[in-house]
Amino acid sequence: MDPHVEIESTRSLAGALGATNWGWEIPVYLFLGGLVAGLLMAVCVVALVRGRERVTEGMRRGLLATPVLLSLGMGALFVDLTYKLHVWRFYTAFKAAAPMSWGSWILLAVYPVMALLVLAMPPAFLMGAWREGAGPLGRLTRWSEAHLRGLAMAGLAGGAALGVYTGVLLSATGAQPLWSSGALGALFLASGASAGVAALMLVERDHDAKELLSRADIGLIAAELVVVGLWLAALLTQGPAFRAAAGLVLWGEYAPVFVGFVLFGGLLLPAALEALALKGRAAHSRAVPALVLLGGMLLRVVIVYAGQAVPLFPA
Amino acid sequence: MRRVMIIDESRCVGCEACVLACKNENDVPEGMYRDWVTQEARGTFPELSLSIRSERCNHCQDAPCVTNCPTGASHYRGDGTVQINRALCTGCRACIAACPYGARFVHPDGYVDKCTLCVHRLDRGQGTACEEVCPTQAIAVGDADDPTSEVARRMRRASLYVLQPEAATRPNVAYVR
Repeated sequence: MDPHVEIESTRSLAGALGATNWGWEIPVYLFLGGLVAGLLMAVCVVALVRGRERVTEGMRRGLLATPVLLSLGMGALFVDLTYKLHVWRFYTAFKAAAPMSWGSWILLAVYPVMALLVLAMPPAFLMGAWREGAGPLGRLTRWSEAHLRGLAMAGLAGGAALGVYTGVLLSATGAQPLWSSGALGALFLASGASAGVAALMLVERDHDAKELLSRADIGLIAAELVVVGLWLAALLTQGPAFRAAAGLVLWGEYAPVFVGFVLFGGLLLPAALEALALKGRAAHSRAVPALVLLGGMLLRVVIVYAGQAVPLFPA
Repeated sequence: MRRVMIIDESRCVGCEACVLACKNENDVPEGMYRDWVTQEARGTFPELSLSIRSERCNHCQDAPCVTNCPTGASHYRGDGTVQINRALCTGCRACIAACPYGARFVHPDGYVDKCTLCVHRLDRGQGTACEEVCPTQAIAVGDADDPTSEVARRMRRASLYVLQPEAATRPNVAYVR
């Protein structure tokens, strides 16, 4: 802002200026939504490319976790609403221009897909005679098994839509420079996919599957780094508000978390450790995917909070 | 009809009567405001200038709050104003995140609130509460499509400007210097 301009406003008496609009619930939801998107996409890709029999017990358990994790995320969203009794209003309208509207419908649409995928590929402890029964659950299970390929494609598409939507939700608002970038959709998709693969690595016991997931995660981390670079480069080459927003995460208040825990601790370090493990110079450790998950969560915390700290249009 | 509000900045004395009138008329909760007064001092001594503005929701023709509202609660009324249907509002606050003017707030009852341009009064043929109380007649509300109206006369002035034109929201609240 021009140093020779002083603005006083009675609005500031109400604390309306500089107040945080979206709190912890939003990054928690964005992380869980992205994580579910990643889990769903990873398991569906394995089922489509390698076949159902190569979907390991760990992957099946990861798939089973998806509705639980998504419900927790939606629970965080519900907590965030200030007019909770009207939550059902999300489903009395569809507004193509409002990402939150089509996001609400995506959330609703992926539930049955996740449920049918779990029926088709359940973990061992859910195997039982009920699957062979003549009841509705048995019939649904047999239908899911017979249509696994279609369900996996639906899961892949639903997961991708869910992952992209979590980023577009922020970028579509348009009043915060840190969020005003089409790269956010790709960034949250890559980060969600990486988090999903990392979550599978946490529960995977099969050595070959661990190696496969590890390779995939390195690729996804590389993609995420490229998108982060593009996003920040675009911010730094625009106007003062955009540079201020980039500065906030690169050398300002949020830099220790963003540079330390997201870029280094959540992306570069785990990628290096996974590469060493693949070369046999280190053991596959659960600490590595845990770092990826922590980095993914903190990425969203930083973007949501720092994004609201620098307005695009100073009032 | 396109209802607009044109505020003559040179007449504003910053008395904040518009703020109080709005609070009384619309029962705005304590600590919250649908309109406010901004004082902007520019330059270096002794070449200083001071502008005083009464600000509020800009009732944009391309309103990001309407675009981002997932339920249709924020909507165009068809008379140039942007309104909130409380029955549809979930309190998701996407509109607050999208508004370039910081004009919205969460009412203690949970829904998002803002200036309505006193359409309940305009529909009865009255002026807005802020317009009627303004002791210097800095605020004028009327139909931009009526060339004989006071607002149309003010809109022909060369000094007409809107806040944050770079946001490309095409506000129906504008100012003259």
